[in-house]
Amino acid sequence: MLFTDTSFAVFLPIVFALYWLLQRAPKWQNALVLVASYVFYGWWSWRFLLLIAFTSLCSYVSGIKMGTGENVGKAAHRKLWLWANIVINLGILAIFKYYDFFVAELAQLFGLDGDPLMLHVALPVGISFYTFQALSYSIDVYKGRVEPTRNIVAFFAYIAFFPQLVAGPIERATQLLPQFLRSRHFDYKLAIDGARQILWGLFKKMVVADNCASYVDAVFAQSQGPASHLLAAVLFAFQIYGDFSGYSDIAIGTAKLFGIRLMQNFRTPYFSRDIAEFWRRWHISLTTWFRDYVYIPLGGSRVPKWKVVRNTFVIFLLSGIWHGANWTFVAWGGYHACLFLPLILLGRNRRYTNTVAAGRLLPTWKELGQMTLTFALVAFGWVVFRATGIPSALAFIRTMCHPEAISAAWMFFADSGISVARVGIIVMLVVEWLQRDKEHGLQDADRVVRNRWLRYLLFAALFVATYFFRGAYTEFIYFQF
Amino acid sequence: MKRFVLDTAIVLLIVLVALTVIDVAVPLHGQEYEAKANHIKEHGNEISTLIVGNSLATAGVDACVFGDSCYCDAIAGEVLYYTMKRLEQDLPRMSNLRAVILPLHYNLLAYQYFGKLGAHFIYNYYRSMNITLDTFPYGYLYRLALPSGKLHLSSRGCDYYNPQGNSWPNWTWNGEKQEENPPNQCDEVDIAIDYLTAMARMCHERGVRFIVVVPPFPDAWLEGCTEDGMNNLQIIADSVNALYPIGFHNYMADSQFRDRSLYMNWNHLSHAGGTLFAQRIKEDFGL
Repeated sequence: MLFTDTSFAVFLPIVFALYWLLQRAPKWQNALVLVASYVFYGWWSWRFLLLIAFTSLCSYVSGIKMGTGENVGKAAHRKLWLWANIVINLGILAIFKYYDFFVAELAQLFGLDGDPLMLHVALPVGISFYTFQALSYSIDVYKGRVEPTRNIVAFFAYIAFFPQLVAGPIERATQLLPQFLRSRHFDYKLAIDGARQILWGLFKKMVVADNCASYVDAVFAQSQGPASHLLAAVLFAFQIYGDFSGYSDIAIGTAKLFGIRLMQNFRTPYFSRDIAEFWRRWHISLTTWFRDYVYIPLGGSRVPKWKVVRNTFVIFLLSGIWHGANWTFVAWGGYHACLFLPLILLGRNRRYTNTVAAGRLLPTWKELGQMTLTFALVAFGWVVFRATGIPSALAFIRTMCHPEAISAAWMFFADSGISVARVGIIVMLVVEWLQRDKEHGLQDADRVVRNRWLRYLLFAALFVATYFFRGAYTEFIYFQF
Repeated sequence: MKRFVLDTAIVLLIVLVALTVIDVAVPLHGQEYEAKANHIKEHGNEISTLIVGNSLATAGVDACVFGDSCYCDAIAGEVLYYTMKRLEQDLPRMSNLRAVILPLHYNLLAYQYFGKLGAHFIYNYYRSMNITLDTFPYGYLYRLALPSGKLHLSSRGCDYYNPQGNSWPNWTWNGEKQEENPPNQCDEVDIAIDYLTAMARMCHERGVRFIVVVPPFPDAWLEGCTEDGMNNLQIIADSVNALYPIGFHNYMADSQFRDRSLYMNWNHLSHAGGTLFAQRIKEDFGL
């Protein structure tokens, strides 16, 4: 079931109504969330529900074992249970996501036929997301950051919570689990903010991302002129942002309808002034996951310089391979490591922690230049990310870097084939610029549009526009991860 | 909770009203699908030659050349998928059909990718196909809307640009290259083969000839075409032909169509060009 499906439009109000009817019985609310989440996931594949249940069970048991009286204080036992859970979870992930890739690569290296050894299994949707969420619980229990829970329903609901099950945000046990363990009361402001965030997310996904996708898919499928390549690279940057941040907005907004707060996953990353700022604003739940569970345990930046270099490459390469079994993702991670490294070595990676042009309507020329350069570097990296292989990525870049590509700027404004995408991008950029210190594009709309009926009309118009100007059906990009 | 439900309900109510108004307004602009489907329902058995496809057919192949029993069921902007679906719906209604002619665009599915016609196009399609709540939430409003058939279609199914004759708009072309919609072989060949094979099968099962032609294009347009793109068209035709026999000819660079007066714009034939092209098809395929 997709957020943009009609089935979800029926599913959500039913679950919402039942959930708040059970307001006085949080246990039953959790049970409902669990059932609804499994229905949501099972809509796609009921077989892989067993995998989620198994992952949840392993993490649940390891949490209890790490925290029960007999094992408290016995570091070896606790470590054993932690590593057992890590090995099981990462083992499952490796089998489903990476096994065939590495077999194929090794077979090719040795000139063998690897096909008989390959599994050819479908990749369970969202496996990387819920696996990391399960791991965060175990590690946090081990580190003593969170108490192990014995409430199995709440724990399973925490792993499978349907708004963020298949594409994040990757939540931490410290943040999400306690919300399932306490009673929830309907909060009008939170719910209305959630509904607005869903609407904004739908706009970004259906109008911006899906309309960009038409052009991008066409150009990546068949080589065309230099300007088309450059334009496709720029449009893909907006597509992946609209797609993924749109999904996150819908997920976070849906969670708010249920009185649950999820972490912010994007903070207008294309308004970043350097790559370090970009990475503080892009896919925040994953970057902070790697920071907290990999980078800092490795010593972070408070180690000798060679180790800083190593640690930087480790987290960026891991981040790349997390996206999928393809050398393009590794190259993409390596590319960003190379961009990030000079900043961290020079101690300039935390120069921009505030909001750009805070208190001003427009940025300075310097800020505009910085944002444009950062966007260009990021968009360049997305070409590698989007390509099907390294050779095709290089061929695409070669074509894109031809002097004729300069006319892409004109094409962006003149090509009628991307007229909806163009308007969508401009609307998105303007709204998000004005709302850059907010969580989403429609937050606190009451302050901007004070008249209640005008607000209703505005939201209805956005809804209708989204509906009529939606692009051809395209799945969420991050479902494949 | 009440306030939240009220707020949400008001917004959804406004949305509903807006969609209803749009739903009523759209047929006023002409429901080609509906009108064409009705024509075939009523006169299907009188049709022996059917022209399908997009603007390359509506403004490209003059139905009159094939005689009174020829009908142009094409709709400007239609992609192969919809052509296939409509043919599937219409074929059983034409018991005397002998031939289906499909002008195939070099870009094949380009308009599906670029979605230029957007919601209006898809909207009309869904309504004419009676696709309701399952797939398209507002299709059901169609039944409440004003009766369609506002178009004055000619007996040959040509669209509303010129209801009494053919479908060519009164455009002139100065022969210059137009930068929008440059030729690009951006489509997935496999998909095109699937759709064409399905159409060929449907025709084959009913003993109807399925003729695929690639229309002529002016020199300015041909400059942007690649050898791979040209070859793909032949590959597609051969792939389909291997399963079900079809008639195929590529007229893209045909020497008879080099005069720019035969074109109304850089990728569509003028009325004169369309008449000449229809005569060529008639001769070449013995229709």
